[in-house]
Amino acid sequence: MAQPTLHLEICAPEKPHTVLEVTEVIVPGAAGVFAVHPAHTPLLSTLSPGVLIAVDAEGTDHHFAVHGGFAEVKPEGVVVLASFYEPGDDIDTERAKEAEERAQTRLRKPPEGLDWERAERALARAVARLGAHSKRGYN
Amino acid sequence: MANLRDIKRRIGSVKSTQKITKAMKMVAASKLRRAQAAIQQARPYAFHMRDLVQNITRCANLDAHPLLTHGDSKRVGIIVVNSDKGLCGGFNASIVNRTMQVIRNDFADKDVQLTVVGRKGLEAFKRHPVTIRQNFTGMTDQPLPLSRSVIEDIAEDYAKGKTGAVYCIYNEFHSAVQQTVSVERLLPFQPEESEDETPQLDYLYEPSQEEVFDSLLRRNLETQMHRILLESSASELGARMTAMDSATRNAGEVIDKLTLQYNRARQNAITTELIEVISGAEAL
Repeated sequence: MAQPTLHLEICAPEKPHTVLEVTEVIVPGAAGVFAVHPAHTPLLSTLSPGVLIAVDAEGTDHHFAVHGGFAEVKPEGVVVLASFYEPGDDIDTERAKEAEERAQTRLRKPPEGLDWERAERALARAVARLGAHSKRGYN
Repeated sequence: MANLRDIKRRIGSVKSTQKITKAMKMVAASKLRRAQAAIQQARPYAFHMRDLVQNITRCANLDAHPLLTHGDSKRVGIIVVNSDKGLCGGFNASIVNRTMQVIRNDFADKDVQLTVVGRKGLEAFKRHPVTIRQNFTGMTDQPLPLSRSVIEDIAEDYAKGKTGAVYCIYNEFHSAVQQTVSVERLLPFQPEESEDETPQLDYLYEPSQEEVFDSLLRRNLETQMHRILLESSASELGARMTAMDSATRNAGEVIDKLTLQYNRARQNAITTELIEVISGAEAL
């Protein structure tokens, strides 16, 4: 029997949008990471920077770094309206690592008048990108 | 009979004009490719977000957020999107005409305030009896920050109940040769004609309804505005390309006509000279 699937759409401004048929989506929600299976109850969540994992019918994982935005969950599918997203394979790890180090040194030795929120967001984004690239799960 | 030298000079000037229009056409065509890609990427995001917000308005409590409530204010805000540069055919004129028509026909009993984006529209509206609340220029460089600043005051006025509705008039991009003037309602969020075929979804909100509404509604306005600015700049380039193409062709026609005149005048001059020489020789 064919497994029921979810219709996953990921889009962001200034980015081509991605459409996938999947059996499970793991979403980095602002109130915690949650998984979506077919016939989920309607849910609307804001996202924090993190890794979105989509599992397709063959069991292959697709990793995406998502930098904030919204996820609309309907019984038949998920629409992710990200501020920005990148497929894990496209991520430039060198740059992400540099960004992570830069953000960490800033937070450790804060310069005068540091915008804490901004620095923390930058760190979260860098961590999300590295996570999406290395294809680590949430276990 | 026009002087030979005058005609020659005019041919030269039309030729250099043609060179300019040809170059502008090429520039517009290459910029258009990029603008077209940008609008095609922005559309799915913007449309999904609009659908989502409309879904919410069908089932959510409308008092939950100031941007969802319906004001009964007589004031209507219209955002008019023009271009900064001219030489793009009827692009700006059609927007201005449509705006005046909309104000006359649909909002005759309302207090209309315009927010004008683009320098050309501002110049045109100065000749009309309208109230301009704000204007923005320098649009093509940075559409995202610009859309944010355009929306800022408008959203605030609506949230405070000062304006009852917000519309946007802009050129929608279909293809390089086809753009249509489109009037779109930005606020309130409800779809204008209610089709109740789509099932109502009562969402769970995470972290909370308030937080989701706070960021989503504002973000939706910015996104729609961003899309509209991209539509408009792609349309502008398309209109300019078409206008410059016909200008180039027109210049070619003028050159042909002048060349014919020039040759005729030259032939005439030669004939006259010949007659003079011959009659001079006969006289001897």
